[in-house]
Amino acid sequence: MSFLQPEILFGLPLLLVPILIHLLNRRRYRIEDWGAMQFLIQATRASTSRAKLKQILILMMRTLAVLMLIFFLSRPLAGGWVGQLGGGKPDTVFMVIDRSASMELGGGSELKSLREQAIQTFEKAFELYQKDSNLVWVDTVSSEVIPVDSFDTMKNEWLSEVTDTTTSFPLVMMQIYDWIQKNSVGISEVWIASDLQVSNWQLDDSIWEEISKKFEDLPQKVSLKVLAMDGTKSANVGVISNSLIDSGFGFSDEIPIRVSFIQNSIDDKTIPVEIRADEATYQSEVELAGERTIWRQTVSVSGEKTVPWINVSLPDDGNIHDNNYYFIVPPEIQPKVIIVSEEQEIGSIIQAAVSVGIPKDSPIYLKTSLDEAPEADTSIIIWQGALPQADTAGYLVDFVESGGSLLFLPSTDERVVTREIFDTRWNEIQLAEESQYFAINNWDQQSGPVAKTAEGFSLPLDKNNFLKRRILQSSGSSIVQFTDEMSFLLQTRNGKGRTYWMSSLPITDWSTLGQGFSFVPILQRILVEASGRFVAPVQIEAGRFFLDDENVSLSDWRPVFPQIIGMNPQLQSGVYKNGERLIAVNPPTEEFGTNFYNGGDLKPLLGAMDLTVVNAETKPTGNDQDNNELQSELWKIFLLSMIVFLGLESFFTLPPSQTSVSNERIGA
Amino acid sequence: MPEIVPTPFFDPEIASRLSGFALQAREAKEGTMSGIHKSPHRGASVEFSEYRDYVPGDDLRRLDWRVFAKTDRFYMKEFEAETNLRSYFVLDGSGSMSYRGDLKDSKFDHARRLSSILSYVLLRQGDAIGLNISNSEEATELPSLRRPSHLQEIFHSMAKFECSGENTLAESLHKLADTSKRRGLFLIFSDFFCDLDALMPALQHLRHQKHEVALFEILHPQELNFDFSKSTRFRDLEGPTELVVEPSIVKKEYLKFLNHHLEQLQSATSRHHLELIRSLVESEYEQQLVKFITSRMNKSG
Repeated sequence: MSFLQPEILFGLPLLLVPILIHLLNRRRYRIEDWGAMQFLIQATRASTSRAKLKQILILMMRTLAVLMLIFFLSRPLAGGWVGQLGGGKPDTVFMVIDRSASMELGGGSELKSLREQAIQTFEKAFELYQKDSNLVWVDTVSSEVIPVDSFDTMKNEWLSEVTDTTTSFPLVMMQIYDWIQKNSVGISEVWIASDLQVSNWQLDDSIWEEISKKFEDLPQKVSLKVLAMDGTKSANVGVISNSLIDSGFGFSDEIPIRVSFIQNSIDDKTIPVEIRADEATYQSEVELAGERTIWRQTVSVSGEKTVPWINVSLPDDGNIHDNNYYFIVPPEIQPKVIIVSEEQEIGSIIQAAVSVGIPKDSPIYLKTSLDEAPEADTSIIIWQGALPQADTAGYLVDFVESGGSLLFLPSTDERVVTREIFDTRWNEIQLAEESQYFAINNWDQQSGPVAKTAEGFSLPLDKNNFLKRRILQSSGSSIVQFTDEMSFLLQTRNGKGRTYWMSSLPITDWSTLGQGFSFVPILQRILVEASGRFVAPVQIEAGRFFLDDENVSLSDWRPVFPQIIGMNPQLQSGVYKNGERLIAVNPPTEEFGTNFYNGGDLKPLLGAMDLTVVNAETKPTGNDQDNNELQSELWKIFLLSMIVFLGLESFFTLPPSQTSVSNERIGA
Repeated sequence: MPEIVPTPFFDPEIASRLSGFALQAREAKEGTMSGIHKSPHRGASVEFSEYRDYVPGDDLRRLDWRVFAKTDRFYMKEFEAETNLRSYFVLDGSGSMSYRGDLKDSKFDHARRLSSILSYVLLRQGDAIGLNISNSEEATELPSLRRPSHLQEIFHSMAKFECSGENTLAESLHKLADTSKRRGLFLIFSDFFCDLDALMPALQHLRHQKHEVALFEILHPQELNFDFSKSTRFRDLEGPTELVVEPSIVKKEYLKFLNHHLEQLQSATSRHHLELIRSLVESEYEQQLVKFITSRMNKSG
């Protein structure tokens, strides 16, 4: 047995009080000179054993009553049937109704959405509990845990609001755990209504083991009741995108877009698509094949008008909250580039590679040395040659630490250079063996400067031949590797910025990089990323928008499209505007997952928590047959016991019925 | 009657009211003086009793010659002689009689009240009264006399007696039975908290000597109710015994044993045709005495 208020147990010496009172009472008596002693002696003799037993019983009742009072106040907990017998309804019910976008399934037609069904079910189930249990609302959007006075409050305050956010159940459970610990609540139940979307629960994450253990270690077991909603019952197609295709440094007349259509069936069908670019709308169609269909389109924008945002829209279906995707068309960026090269030829090649993608008139400075600190608006410095020292090294370190990007290319000087910067240096020049080359066979194709193209093509890095190279010695992370696992390209992070290091040069006696098939895209991508630091993020996922300026309030962000009063950029998808700044809010990518767990998947991870999973059609309060480990507060048992013991004590101490000898013979 | 010196237990008003009644013995008593009580001796009186056939040896002086003249048969004329009553007041002077509880009077006080009135009534009607008060430590005995001044002596003896020691009623009664050869009335005042197996033979002894016996059972209300609420240390008035008792626990048993004793006394006395009158301390004893006296008037011849 454990206790929620164990400090009260220090009152256990109070058990001595009845015993002391009893002993003191034995010393306090009146004195009576008595005549009918012979009968008293007989009576005492006859009732001695019974009297002693009665005395012991009275003393025991008093002591037990005090013990029960102490136990009652210290709020003991017990498991098994004892707990169920004495515990009854939970002290606290944590109500978690998934408000993520996927819970809006069903809301597009006459059927109620999963969220609305969950509210209805929980409201009905909670009627039985509302008198005895405290209600605590756990918001899946903000992960806040808020005690509320009634279900209606909860419904009006939060549940009526439709959101395009996602839910992280590990985070929700951690918040509940913290709250239970802080507030010393008694027996608790966590009611969760969810469609069990894989991305929301992330059962593979090792954090669940930690959560399960934490709840197991709580003095009061917390039972978990999951109302499993069917996330696949209505046909639904959602639209999603990562970004505009290679937005680079901005667009002029044609804006290529790429979106994915995700449906919860595998039927092939054609659906209409509407594209809205500010005030102009375009109709199109898309042929869906399988669960996920990638669709590319170019939005032509003629005339002088700049298109600030684009919306891709699908007709209403099972879930209307994933039928729109919003893009903000980024403004043109003119990156400022400084190239410091020890050799004019190499510098020119680099300059040419840089100039390919960036807007005309972008400033590019080709230098042989860096004699002063670079200006703050410099996007990137490309350094080719021996590593800098003294002041120049200081300028570069400051530049990177403050957020700038730096690309180092090796020197052609064959002298051994022992200098290093950013914990990285080159070794001496290494020549490939005769009639052989160094080759690349491994690189990070998922993200970074050598990732696959938007169309899914790999960069042809393995097509390059290398005659010379300078092996890098660094603590940074390798991005591209030669066949002998030496790094061709690596990256270090320093302060707010980062550095890239290449181990060969784009000149013919070093490599075939000069052909540009690999070198140019790598350079361009590093440049785009380096320029990004001057651009505020414009594509934001619902639930992940945070005000970054103290002077701006949430209401300053007004909806541009769709224009619905009360729209909240933290919760609802759409295009919002604050002054000149635009943002596009879309549901988080994970909300488009079509994979759902079933109740049985939860059991292994949360078994320690006394889990009950019920289908949406059933009440969540049904008893689980396996549910025999329920741990409950026993205060009712102890309160009742105290009353019983006090009653018995009174019974034993009651004077016997008023009997006496009749006086019928008086004066006979 | 002589002037009575005031004593705390003697109520002259009650005594004067009761002096109009005549306390009669139920059975014939032997007395030396003529009185209102029947005498077992025939012929010495003027009160005709009955005729009977002559048997040889009869006193010819008591032959009714007139009947012989008329019927030619011998009839003896029987007369009933009236005599004065020789009565004894036997008071239990044991320690238990001193119990007074929360009341003003002790049981002994109450016994003195009753016996003083009755002794006054008896002496007033010309009967002889004697007194015996005893316990294991002390005994006071006054002979049965009809001298008016004897009442004062009796009152004085009653007044100065201090209750203590154990009950010796049985021994006293045996002794009295042995010494009182002439039939008389014994009025015994006690709580009878003694061994009945010893007491009853003593009472029988008195009866055997043809004495008339009336028992006044003097009890205290607290002894019958046992209404104590707190723990109490009971100290025996007749000995060194002390008991600390939780009254609520022993009450039932106590009353059971007391009741059993009282019932035994009741059945034993009725079996031996002994009159038993219970009187509680500070109860309205005048009525009890009136009832006692009048019941004897009715029952006596």
